[in-house]
Amino acid sequence: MAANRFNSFSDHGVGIGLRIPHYNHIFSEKPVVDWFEIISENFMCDAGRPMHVLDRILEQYRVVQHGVSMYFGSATEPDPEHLRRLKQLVRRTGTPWLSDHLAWGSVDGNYTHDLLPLPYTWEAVHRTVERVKQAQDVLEIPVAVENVSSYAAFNDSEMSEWEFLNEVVERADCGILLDVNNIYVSSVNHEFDPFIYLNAIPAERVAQIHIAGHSRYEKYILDTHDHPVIDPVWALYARAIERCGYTPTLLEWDDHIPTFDEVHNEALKANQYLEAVKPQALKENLAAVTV
Amino acid sequence: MSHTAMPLAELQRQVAAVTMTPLTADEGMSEVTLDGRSTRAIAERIIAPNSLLSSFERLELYNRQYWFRVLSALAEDFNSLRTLLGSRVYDELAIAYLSAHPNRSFTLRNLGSKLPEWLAAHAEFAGRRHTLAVDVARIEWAFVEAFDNAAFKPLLATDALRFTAESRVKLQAHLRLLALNYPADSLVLDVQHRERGEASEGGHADEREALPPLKLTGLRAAPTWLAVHRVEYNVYFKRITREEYGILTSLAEGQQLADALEHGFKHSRIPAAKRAEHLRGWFQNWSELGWLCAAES
Amino acid sequence: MKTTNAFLLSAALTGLLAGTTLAAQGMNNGGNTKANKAGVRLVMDDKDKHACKGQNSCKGKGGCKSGDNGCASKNSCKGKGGCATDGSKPKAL
Repeated sequence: MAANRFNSFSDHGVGIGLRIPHYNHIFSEKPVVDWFEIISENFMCDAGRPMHVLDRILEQYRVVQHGVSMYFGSATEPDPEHLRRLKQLVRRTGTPWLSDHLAWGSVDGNYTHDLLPLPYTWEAVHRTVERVKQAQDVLEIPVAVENVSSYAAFNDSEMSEWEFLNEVVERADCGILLDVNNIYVSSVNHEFDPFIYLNAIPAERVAQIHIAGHSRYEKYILDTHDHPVIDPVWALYARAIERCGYTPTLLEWDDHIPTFDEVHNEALKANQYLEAVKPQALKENLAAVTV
Repeated sequence: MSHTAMPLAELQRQVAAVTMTPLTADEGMSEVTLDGRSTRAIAERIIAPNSLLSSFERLELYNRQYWFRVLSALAEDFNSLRTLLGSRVYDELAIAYLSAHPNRSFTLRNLGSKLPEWLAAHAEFAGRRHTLAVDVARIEWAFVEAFDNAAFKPLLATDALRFTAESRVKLQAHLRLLALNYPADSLVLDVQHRERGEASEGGHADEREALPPLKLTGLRAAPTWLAVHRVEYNVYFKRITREEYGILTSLAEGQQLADALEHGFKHSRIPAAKRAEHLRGWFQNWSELGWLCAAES
Repeated sequence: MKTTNAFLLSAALTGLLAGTTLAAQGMNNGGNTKANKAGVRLVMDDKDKHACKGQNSCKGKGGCKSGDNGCASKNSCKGKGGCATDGSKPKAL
């Protein structure tokens, strides 16, 4: 069952990313949303409107933090200020778990602001494990690592991406944010069967699942988060739920963002898969609230 | 065939060097990095090709992603600068700046932190509009800081009662004081006003669309002192006098109150008889707006 | 202390006391007077780029000349590089 120690035994259902174009709708209409995911770095400032908005959201909704620049796989030393501010934010949001990507993006203090893929080597395993452990120690909440979409592979790789992911999460004893859209994108870009990847994941470590849309070009797919989820990705999601059980699920929509209702309705499609595996206790809780 | 793996840090340095190399005019990957290395050789050494894309093409995707992302983020913060200079001149400026100053921060919020200073030292990127462009860049960066900088607890009346000539204050963290050569805040406000009009008529201007330089009518050089600050989560531009600027910047530097007053009125044209009246009003405004905070806070 | 400054200092302190008192009163009556004295407000709502300081994301940056919408989060995790690698404009399928 996917309420596990990697998501603090949470019962989160379907959430969406908190995005600026939806602020007015959320504050005026107060829609029922199970939870919001925030990009941590957008709220790691000192004060002002972003923190005011966040505090208003926290008054009414559950929030989970998702980071984009921890760069667990970067070989050079991280910025201690980043971790300090992240911890401050963790205290503010009360996020039950926190995620960031299995990627690198900075070197010698210069930031690319991209999620660059790692060479799947033992050196990268060891470095990434060290960084994930450090984050877990400092933040004192479960950390989940997310598989990224990638457009390049490395000559030096010594194992498959899923083998690399498994080595990292087992050694760091951390959770997985399983992005089924990213598996699909990478499977096309790297010409592998996405179900082989999905079936190799240790289901008991999956803390959360991401779904999203992408853009297909002639020779590759980009993870643009600007479309609805396509059927092959829903098929992967169905298999993920079959393996992992009832798992917190989040739709990412970051570009050409449609109305709040359109985004939320797209996310709620996940319920057709989740309902079948919903724990009895959650169903009873919901019934009690409805009565 | 034996193959020695490249150390991770070295691999990342090489990939980052290629990724952060400016694109060619047609948005492709350059054949050489800024320090003269062959991007093709690096790509082929490091990146595995697949059946559809070569090593070069795969790395090129990340090269494009980097530049599209940082240029878009910078244009968002320096929209008036782009409007003033036009997209062609601005794009060259932005690429040169980002090449000189890749972001050293984990957040894109800080991407443009060095742009005003850099632009001040690189007149060649703004031509005859250089002085005005620097003013606009300074205002736009001040906006970023005023938007989400910390908010210190302002002085209270009980603090004020204890003040003497030797007292020091700290200025509010989101307050930014600018001495400008042009009334460039008007230009920034005009650009914002115009964009809001366009947005309500059918969406935002695309930052990657070609834009001619702004036609300037009636904007003349004139010393201008500006405070950019935040009230209730909104950012405001407030014109201040040269004397106010002098006093506030002296206080920000840690000078004692009496010394700051003296500095503020140095070379002032305000008649001595009128100065007390002005001071009363200024200090009242500043403290009401929360600009003055306890030095030890 | 220079005697020439005593008068000015007194004026400054009077203003300081008045301002801090007004600020306290303003907090009790909604703070509108403070906003009136703040200068020119830059209008910020969700249609305004200046309200969009959420810049980090993990979305890809796809498509030459496609641009973002007005409030795309800068810090995101979307991809951003979708040009055709043969030098032509990308063809989305």
